[in-house]
Amino acid sequence: MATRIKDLPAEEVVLSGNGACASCPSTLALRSVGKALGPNAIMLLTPSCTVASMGVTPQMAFTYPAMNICFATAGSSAAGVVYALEAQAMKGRLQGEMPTVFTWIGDGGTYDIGFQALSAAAERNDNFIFFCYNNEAYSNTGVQRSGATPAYAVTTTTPGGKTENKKNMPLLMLDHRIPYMATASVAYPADLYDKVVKAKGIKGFKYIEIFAPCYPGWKFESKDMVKLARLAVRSGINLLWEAENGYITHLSGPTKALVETGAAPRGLEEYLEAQGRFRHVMTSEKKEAFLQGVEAGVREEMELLKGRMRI
Amino acid sequence: MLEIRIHGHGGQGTVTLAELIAYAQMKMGRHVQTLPFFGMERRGAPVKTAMRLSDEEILLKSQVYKPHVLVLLSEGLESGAVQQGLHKQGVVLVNRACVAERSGENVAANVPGCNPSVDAWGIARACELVLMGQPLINVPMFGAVSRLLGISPQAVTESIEYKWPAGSEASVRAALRGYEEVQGLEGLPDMARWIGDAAELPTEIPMEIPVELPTELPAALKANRITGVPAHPVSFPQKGVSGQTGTWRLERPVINKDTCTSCLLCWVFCPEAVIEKETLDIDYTYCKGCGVCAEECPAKAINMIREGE
Repeated sequence: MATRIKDLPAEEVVLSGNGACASCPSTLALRSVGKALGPNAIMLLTPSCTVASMGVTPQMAFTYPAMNICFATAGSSAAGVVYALEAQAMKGRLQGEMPTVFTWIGDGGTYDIGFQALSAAAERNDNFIFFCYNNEAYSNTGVQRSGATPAYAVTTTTPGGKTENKKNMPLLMLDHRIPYMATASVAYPADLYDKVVKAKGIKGFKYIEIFAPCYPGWKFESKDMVKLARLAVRSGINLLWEAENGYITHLSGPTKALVETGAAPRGLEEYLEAQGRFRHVMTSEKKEAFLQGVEAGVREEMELLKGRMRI
Repeated sequence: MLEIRIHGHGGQGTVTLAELIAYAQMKMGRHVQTLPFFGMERRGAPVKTAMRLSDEEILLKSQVYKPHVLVLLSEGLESGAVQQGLHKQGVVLVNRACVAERSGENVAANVPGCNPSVDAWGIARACELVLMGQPLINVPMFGAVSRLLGISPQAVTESIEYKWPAGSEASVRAALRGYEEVQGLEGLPDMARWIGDAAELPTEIPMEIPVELPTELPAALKANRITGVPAHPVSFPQKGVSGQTGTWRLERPVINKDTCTSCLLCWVFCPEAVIEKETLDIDYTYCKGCGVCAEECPAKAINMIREGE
């Protein structure tokens, strides 16, 4: 039984007046995650928008103890914290419930720079949750292309549109055969909450990727942030699923209908039209071919998923 | 040599405004510097850009600390930080919305010199100069600054056409309206003489606003009682780490409690956590005005109302 919005806890881990842009998907996602994790958790952050918005010593915008670490080291640093806590518990210096260790990393620190440490931590099956909030670019430094940037998207380093496709990070993590992983969206906070609660209860390495539309980076109106995240799910750009030990065990939200019944994806054109980063192709004669290409890509991803399902 | 500082909020185009002024000045054969201040340029956060104009080569390469002209694009800028170092006879050009009742503080009123103003918001709206939902107020402001600095309307038009070769008609119209509609020019000093001759510049001591430091430090930051060494730099959760972020807002959400169905979607989708779950009260001190709550409200019970109205 999925949690209802009304039943989400009122406790906030993100405090108002932080330095994030208005309509920041990172703080929005972190709110839902914090409600699920509860107060007993330790946060690790690599350079990202979240670090820029969390404030300067001695003030901090989050209620968790947090460590700012090097860009490439999310997996290894979190593993170090976990081992230290385990050692403390073994020596009897840490009593009671073990804190949940989690990382809060952008797509740059996951797909590109942090990939080696992430992959190694997954292979060691270290006991923490790796969160990736995926806004499909290095937004903190002024929107440069990352491994998560989709083809044709304009960034400051791809002014004519990116020519390569993005990596499929969730499938890469699926093949690490970790105990639990999930993809989520800021537009489905209750679904995200349930997934984090589930991850918290599982021992071993957990990976959760949250789709996060960035309005200065993608160039759309700030009020449409949640709407675009929802359109991404409905159109199949962002598929919501959970996997355990290398097999997909659960599909949620509109993804279920899309994959199981083969229903046509809805709102793909609206999703792409709303974003300034695709305007150069959406207003050209290449529009139809581009739309067909994106839809074919979505269908291909769904076929890949079907082969890995064990529901 | 004249020094200008432009204050605004991220996304309003302070850097572009400085570029436009620079193009126009270069067309008049002057030397120009534009000095964007690099910090964390987040959408909505206070940002600043400075400029130097001279008839001779500019050898000074530092930031501008004692500007002669302030250009304020936005309301809700923190009073002290904005006026810092302004010459007492300096000129403050404000976007009229800037003189808003909201903060209860009129930055320009504290300055004895000339205070022209222009309704850049209204002009940008009227000329349909809106991008991603935000009126491009820097373009009408460019027209107004040009009037102050003695730039010809011809140079204004040419600069905009140079910056945006395609589709510049609305921008030119907005800039020229800003040029015409700037008010309060009585007592405006001769800027061309300020730019050309250092001897003509006002010499009075600039305004100095003391920077307030926090008086109460958290216990962990105080020196260790025994060793005298300050404790580790530990941070503490606190609201408002970036100040009163409500000043970033251009429009504020207002919940109509009569049509509200208490579905809590506004609460759950607020990226800033400013909506109270039980009462649905909005904390306007920190609400950044992104508009997600109004967009997501299924009952359409939340309206976005322009600040100052």
